[in-house]
Amino acid sequence: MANQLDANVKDDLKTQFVTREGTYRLLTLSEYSRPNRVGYSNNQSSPQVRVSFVTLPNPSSKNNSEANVAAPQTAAGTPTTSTSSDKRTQLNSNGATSTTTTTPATPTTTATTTTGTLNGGGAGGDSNYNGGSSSTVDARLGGGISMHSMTNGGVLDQNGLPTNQIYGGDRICFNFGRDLYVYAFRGVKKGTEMSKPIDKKFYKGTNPSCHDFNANAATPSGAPLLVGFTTGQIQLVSPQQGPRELRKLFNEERLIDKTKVTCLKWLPNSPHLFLASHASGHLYLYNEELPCAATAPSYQPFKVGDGYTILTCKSKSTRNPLYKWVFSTDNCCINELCFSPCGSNLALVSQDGFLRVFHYDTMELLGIARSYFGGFLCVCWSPDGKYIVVGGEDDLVTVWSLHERRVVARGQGHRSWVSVVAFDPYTTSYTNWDGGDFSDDENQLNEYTASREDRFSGDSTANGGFEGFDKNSTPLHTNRTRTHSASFRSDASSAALAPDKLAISYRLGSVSQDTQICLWDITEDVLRHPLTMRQRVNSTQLNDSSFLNGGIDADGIKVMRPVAMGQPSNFADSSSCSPIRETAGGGVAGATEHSNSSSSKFSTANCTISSQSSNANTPPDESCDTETATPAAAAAANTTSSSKANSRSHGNSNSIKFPNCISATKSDSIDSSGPRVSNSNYSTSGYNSKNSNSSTKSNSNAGSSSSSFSAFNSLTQRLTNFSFLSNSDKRSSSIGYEGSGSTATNHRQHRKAMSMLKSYNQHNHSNHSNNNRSSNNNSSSTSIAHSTAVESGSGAAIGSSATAHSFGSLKLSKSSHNSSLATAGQSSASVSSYDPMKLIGTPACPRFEECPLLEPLICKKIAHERLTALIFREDCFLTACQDGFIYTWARPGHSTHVAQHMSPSQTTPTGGTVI
Amino acid sequence: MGANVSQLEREIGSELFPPNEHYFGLVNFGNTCYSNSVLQALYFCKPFREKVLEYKAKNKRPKETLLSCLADLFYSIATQKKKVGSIAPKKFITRLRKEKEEFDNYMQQDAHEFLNFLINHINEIILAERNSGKTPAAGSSTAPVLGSGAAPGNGNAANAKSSSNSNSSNSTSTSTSNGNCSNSTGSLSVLDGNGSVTATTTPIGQTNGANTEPTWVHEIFQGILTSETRCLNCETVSSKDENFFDLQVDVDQNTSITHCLRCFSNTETLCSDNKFKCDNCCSYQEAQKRMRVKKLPMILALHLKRFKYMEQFNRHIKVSHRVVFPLELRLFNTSDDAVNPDRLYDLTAVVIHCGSGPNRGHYISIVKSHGLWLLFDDDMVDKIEASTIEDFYGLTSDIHKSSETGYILFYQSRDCAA
Repeated sequence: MANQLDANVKDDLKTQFVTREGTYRLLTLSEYSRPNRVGYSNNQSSPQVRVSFVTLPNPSSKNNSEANVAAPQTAAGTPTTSTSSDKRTQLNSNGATSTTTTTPATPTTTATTTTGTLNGGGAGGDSNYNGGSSSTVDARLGGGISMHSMTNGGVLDQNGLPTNQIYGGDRICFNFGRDLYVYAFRGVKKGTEMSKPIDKKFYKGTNPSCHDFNANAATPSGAPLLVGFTTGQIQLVSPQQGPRELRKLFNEERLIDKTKVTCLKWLPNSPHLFLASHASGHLYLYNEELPCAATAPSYQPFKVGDGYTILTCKSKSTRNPLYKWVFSTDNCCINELCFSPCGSNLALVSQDGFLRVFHYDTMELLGIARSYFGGFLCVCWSPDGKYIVVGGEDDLVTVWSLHERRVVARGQGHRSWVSVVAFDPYTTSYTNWDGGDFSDDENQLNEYTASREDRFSGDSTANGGFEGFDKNSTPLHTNRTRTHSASFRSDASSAALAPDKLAISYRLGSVSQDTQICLWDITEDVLRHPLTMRQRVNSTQLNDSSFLNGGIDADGIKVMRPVAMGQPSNFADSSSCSPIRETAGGGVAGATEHSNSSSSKFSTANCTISSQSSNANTPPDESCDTETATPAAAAAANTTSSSKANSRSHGNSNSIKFPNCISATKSDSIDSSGPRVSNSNYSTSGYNSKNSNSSTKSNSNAGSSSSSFSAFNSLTQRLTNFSFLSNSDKRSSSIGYEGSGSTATNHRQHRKAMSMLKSYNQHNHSNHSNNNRSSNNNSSSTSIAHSTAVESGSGAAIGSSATAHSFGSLKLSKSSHNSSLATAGQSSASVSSYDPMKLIGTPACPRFEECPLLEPLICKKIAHERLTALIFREDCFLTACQDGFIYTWARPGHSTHVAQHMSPSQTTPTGGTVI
Repeated sequence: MGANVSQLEREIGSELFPPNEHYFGLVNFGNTCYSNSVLQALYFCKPFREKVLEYKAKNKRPKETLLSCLADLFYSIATQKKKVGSIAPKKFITRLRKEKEEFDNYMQQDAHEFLNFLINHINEIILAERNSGKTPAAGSSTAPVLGSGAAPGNGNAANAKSSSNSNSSNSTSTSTSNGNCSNSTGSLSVLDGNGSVTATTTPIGQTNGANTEPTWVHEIFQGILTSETRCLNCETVSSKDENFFDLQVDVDQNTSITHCLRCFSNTETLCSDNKFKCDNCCSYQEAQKRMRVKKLPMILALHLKRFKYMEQFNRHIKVSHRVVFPLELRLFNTSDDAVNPDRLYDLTAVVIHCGSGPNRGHYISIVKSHGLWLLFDDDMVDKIEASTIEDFYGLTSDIHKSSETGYILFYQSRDCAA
């Protein structure tokens, strides 16, 4: 029966597939799994099989690497002769000890200072090093769970060296059921030595659910490995010289969080700090050097943001967790978190269907996106940090632009939930941006003829996070210049600088519970595509009304929250995000200039459009706003507000303002020289708001309409756009000329109108509270067109209307925003609403037909069980499956090892191991 | 059981226990779990429960019907003094056995067939009462204008399927008999006894032409499918609306319900024996047809066709394929003129089949109530974590013949939740 049902699928597993760059082949001998494979085992309800990967420094460069990375010294707890008494004390105090013979004989070197930092509980256990063979350790972890660990220590290989002393190279770690394995990853050239895992651990009473190597603290002999468990504990295993390891436990008594650890990530560039997310929806920052006190932490608010609160421990001495993030939505179990390549931004995806992007250092929310429905399960940054891709329970792959703060594309191709998305940095194509772009070239990527050696030879240290693109690639593109792709200039010298490079096509991979892998090419023309104007008219109207109802029905908070997502206004403000700015902002710099020029060309016309495009890519600059743009901004604000006021007849203050705004408008048009003005316009129209009160939260709405324009870098597109100038003009809001009412015409805005209306109040409040900053935020606040904003901008500061106030306070009280903290937070952005019913049709969650829909380049079924991991490497990629198998797929030109795999060294596994 | 009850209360916690909510198991009278599981799911479909209770309030001394028995049962649960416990739906089961002889035994029945019967029957009762209370002018509303009647316009396989389905409520064969036409296209179950089909290209306003006013059963469960047929000869597109109370979808291994629904709306080519009679060409022509949702119901009931007829075994086999279903759903397969295509649904209840085949095994249900997930297993009620829902997606391997799999999914539109 079984066979019958599956007859049609049994044999169609792909072992190779072809893309334009060549053939990818499954390397059947480079397969990793449990050493002793048994038949079918039901791992269906076990934690997802995840894979962690680390590249260790080469032994030859050992000195250098260690010098560079001071971290390992401390992190890994390089044996020091600290008192062994710590260790003893600990053992005594926990009384639990291990199930095997306790061996106080543990060399004193193991009792390092790090052990001392553990607080009393049953941490660590003790190790029993049997010199002869592999070392096994039993340890009791907190909460009734225990660990049996076998390090393949004593086994000698043919050279008489301990096999665990493999220095350098790559390590691969994966969990399966209650087991955790670490192997040396041998790449495509050599087969797997399945019988010789470097380490394997079996846990009782819990399952490992996630893990992460600390690449910053890697030494040639290994890297510290964090392991999170379904029961909430977190274990840190640090390699030491020799077959021993140091272990620490965090949250061992589950005082911090009792729920499953869903994701662990070391902070980039930090050897000691890591983030842990739990199924409870909370996120914690730990310092591995600090203890977890034996008491439950008590928290005090540290920062309150829009829809999130950051808490810190209230205790005299610094302790773990250093910080705790709490999010306002229900069921916001964070499924994955990911740092941007530059390390400064953090993307979180959660079961509530949200992508949240934070500037990590300032803990400011930069933006959000919402799934079409269901939870987001996975997230990945593009190699240049400009885009984020998420996948989830809507079976879609969703591309979100950091600069535009909007969903720019969706990919439909999977037949079930998307469990992992990953950019392939080695197949992403880059070029230089010379600003003179007329391209709408869809063809530019049609061929991928370059030999991979050429492309990948370079080392990409220049760009912090992403490796793999190569300077040579630029010339290649040049060669391929076509009629329309004038934009791709070959400039090899500048190619090394990230800011000058723009990716013209991103390669993305995704794997799903449907057992298929999809590869996608995301090209510039898609990314630059504006939101579709076509709408279902009916549906829009209906929706409107439904929004209306919803708003009414909803409680105060919902009413208050406007629609869209926040657009960060002062993204650049905080200035903190330097790396990203460099890459991102820098990358766009060319474009900006260009747009300037274009705007000048078209300056006679209202230059809002072109300038908008520049703005869209360039984070609004505070100084720019304040100084140059203030009048304009104010003007814009006025206009907008007036327009709104008209359309909505929102109160006296507005009507009073109206005259002002007209005059302002005029001045605006007069002033309108170039980008600055447009800047203000831009912000006005769209990108809203920002400002936020300390909360910051303010936000506003608007965004969607403008966003549709914002993206154009290419002149052609801009020109095209121009053809609809009238239309766009309206949207741009602001509209200096059209003044009142024009906004209403924009249907997108129209749709949101309800929410905008509501957002006024909110804005009011935020402006008000941030009066001092209001000038800076002028543009942003103006976007909302709020009367207050206008006032502050013009200095009138008449004060917001009473209603606005009351709403604002309502909001405050309800979400318990602490306005005193307001100043601490730079404005970020702004989320207006976390209600998916209101987010639909906004940049955070466009309607399905509003958003470009990608189709996969290839979509292949490669397993019988759901796929759970995807990692791109230079010469291969890896996929993992819930059945516990990790497969290696050679890239075109790299599948050479078939001939080599039979070499004796691999086929003669030494005995010794392991069960 | 008493211990069990108090344990549930303890688990939830008195302060968290939703006010005015009662979690009562239903006693099994011998293989009546098919009924118990569906009743629990319906009870926690808020709009349905409210309407039933409202019916109870309005009809103090009704003639005993299945609806009045259901209303009594719901009323009895809703007015219990205790928060948790169990109750014996004796009157309802007795009445059910009188109403429909197929259920008058102690055999395991198909839960979907029961749901199908119950909803249609309730609807008929309402219409009948309305007619008897008012002028019988609306008599036509109870006169079934079955799909087969209107089908000649579109004589094709899909219609044949749907019409056979619409009859299935009167036949003993289970709805699973569609299993043998298991192509990628799901078949439509037209549960509406009132004329599932209207003339071709009927504007939506006339969809219910035969019915005077929709009943509250219509308001809650009824959606409209539009089947668009494009004649490959003259390119004329004709569309035809059909009402539905639930959607039956084929299940594929390792897919999501989203995918199954998309397949449901895949374009199907009508050729050879299934040619389409094109009004424009006045002849049978090859055509392409697809069915999409034009009006999204308030409660979207999705029936996963897990019982497939396998010819080589000469019986129905349970398909335990793993089909994931999210807690939140939007439909991709809406028509261009759909009224409310962005409707966002929340999973509110799942009827789960446990076991290896259609005529054996057990039904339970899980429901969401005030943010809590509860598992109703006849008279037992347990609180479960949302994460355990994944245990009911199905199996990726066919080695195990028995499985606990979601069988009927109830998604409730969020805009009506408040």
